[in-house]
Amino acid sequence: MTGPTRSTSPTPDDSTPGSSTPGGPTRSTAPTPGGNGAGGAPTSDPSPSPSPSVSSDPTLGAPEIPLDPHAMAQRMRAALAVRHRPPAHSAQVFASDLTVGDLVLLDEVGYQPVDLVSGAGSASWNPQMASNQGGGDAWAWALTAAITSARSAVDRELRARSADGVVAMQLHLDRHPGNLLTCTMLGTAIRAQDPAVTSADAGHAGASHQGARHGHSSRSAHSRAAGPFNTTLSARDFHLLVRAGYHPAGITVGAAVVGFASRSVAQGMGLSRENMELSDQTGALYAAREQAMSRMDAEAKALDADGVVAVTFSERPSHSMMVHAVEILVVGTAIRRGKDGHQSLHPAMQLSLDDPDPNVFLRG
Amino acid sequence: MSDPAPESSPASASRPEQSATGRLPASPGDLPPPEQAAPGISRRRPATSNLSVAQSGALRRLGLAPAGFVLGTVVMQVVSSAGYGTMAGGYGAFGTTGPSRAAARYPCAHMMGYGADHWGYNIEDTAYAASLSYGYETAVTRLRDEARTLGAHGVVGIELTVGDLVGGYASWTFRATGTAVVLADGPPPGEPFTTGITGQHLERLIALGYAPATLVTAVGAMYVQPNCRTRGDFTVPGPVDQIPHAIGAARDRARSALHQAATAHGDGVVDTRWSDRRSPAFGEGWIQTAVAIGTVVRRFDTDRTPAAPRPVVPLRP
Repeated sequence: MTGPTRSTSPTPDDSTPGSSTPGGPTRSTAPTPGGNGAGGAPTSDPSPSPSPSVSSDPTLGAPEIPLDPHAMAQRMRAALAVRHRPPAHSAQVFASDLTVGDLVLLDEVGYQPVDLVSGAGSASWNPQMASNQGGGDAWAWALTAAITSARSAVDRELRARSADGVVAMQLHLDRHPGNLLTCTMLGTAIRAQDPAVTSADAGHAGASHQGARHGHSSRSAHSRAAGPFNTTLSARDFHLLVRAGYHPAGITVGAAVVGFASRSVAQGMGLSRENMELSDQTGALYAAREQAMSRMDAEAKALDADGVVAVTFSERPSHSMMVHAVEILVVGTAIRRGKDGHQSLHPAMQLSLDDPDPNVFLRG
Repeated sequence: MSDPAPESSPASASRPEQSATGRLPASPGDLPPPEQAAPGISRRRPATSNLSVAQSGALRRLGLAPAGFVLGTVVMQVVSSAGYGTMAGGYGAFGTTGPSRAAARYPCAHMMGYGADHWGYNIEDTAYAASLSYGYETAVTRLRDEARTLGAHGVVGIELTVGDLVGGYASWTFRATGTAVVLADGPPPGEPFTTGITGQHLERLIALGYAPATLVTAVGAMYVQPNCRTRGDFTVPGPVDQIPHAIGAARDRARSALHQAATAHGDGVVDTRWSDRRSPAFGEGWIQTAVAIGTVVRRFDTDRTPAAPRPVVPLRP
């Protein structure tokens, strides 16, 4: 953010803004999008920005909006002056763990914070039961139960606050002791600023001009009647998702534990002399993966989702003389596509002239 | 010795700055004295800060200049309601006649009527939470006092740490650091605002129409004496209620404290750094703590400067 940049070359095609005209105050420093791009560009611009390609999002054609230092100093003065007025003591305060960047990104797609919401769930299992095929069910059940009960607790808190969903949820899994899993969730509940555009029955996308500047078509993918959504996606990823025309539906989980028996005691202790595949263990891995993925798939279908993104995949072996098992846990965010389909963002390519971090070359 | 090269100006020998064209001074005597080399150096005492260059630049765009790096410290004896005083204090560690009505009790999953390691309870640890709150708040108060003597309008970039600096059992050092800032041509400084936000984030907060009011520290603590199932006894596997209840109760306390601070000083809380900890206590018990440190903000302007973020794909080597 070194200063104002202007696009010095006009866009090849007139990019007409779509039905989603951005609301908010007019930007006096930007040339009109879709119009003659060269009209407002000074010829003595020392740092021209690359001209972005055509897209349906009008702000992508507009140059970066600078924060005018004089205006900002005025605002800072007003910010200090407000402290002399007594606070409203309203009951409608919000609490959030959003950073300022998160606040801005959510505001741009029409969401505001409501409250911090939290959920926790815990379950234990008998690990000895995983020593034969099919004996891992209690273990897998315990994993799913802990995460599901945390998820339900968050859901209850969201409904109690009439929130649309929770974003940037931190999800922690704690296994202490080894056969007890505690899942904790913590995030900021958010609500759409204009209720009319959240309901799927509201009609065409882009109905509101007072609401967000972006992401109107994704509103059709989320209906308040379907229940609040939750996601571990960060505010930044949520912003991109919504601008691309999708909406998160909820967190989906698939857990599977498959046990396998050793061929012999000797093999179990690693005393076999042959160079051979341990096919029981390979088979267990494949089986566990398939089970976990299909369970997550079932949860996504129950949410009427079009796909699952941001999947974390964890594989955990458990070996002892008695117990041979593989635990696979997949957690992701199910998403739905809005009725306008995928909205391309056409990101601009950027090449920094700064020297790259030395670690870039070390990492390869 | 021949003249090294003809210079355009006859006085070039006494004007070494013209050797900026590429020639080195012929001898040390040619170097300009410091006052001539950089005539603009100010003789006033510079202000300290813990700002990065980018943060400093962003604050200057807001009209804020650093007044000084400020610090607040306090060493506390941290106590627990359910610590050594348990037996004397009336919570009771043994058997089923133990804790008072205020505790949530978790009977043995084996349906056994005896044994401290089979029965469990959760009880709020008010002394522990109060120790932590007092430690954090006193550190911030002392930091704000330093800022006030500097005539600052606020303190930005506040970091709170707890450490075992002094040593000794249960004595913790709470430390708050930050940079005091002054607004040029600003109003007379009153009570400085305090916030963990700094740099470009503060710039964006002001652009959104929110003013920082005060840093808030919220603490919740629950003492957990686990029952058999909560210890992971695999003879009674199943859903465990005691742990989620303890976590939920500690978090609820912290969250209520955030709401109270927001109601008293502004419109909401942002930039909350949240941590959940399990501190080992008696035997298999622990203290479940939730600590939240955030900034209370007040809306001063509903008109927002739009951000219009653009997706960019960096081309990295």
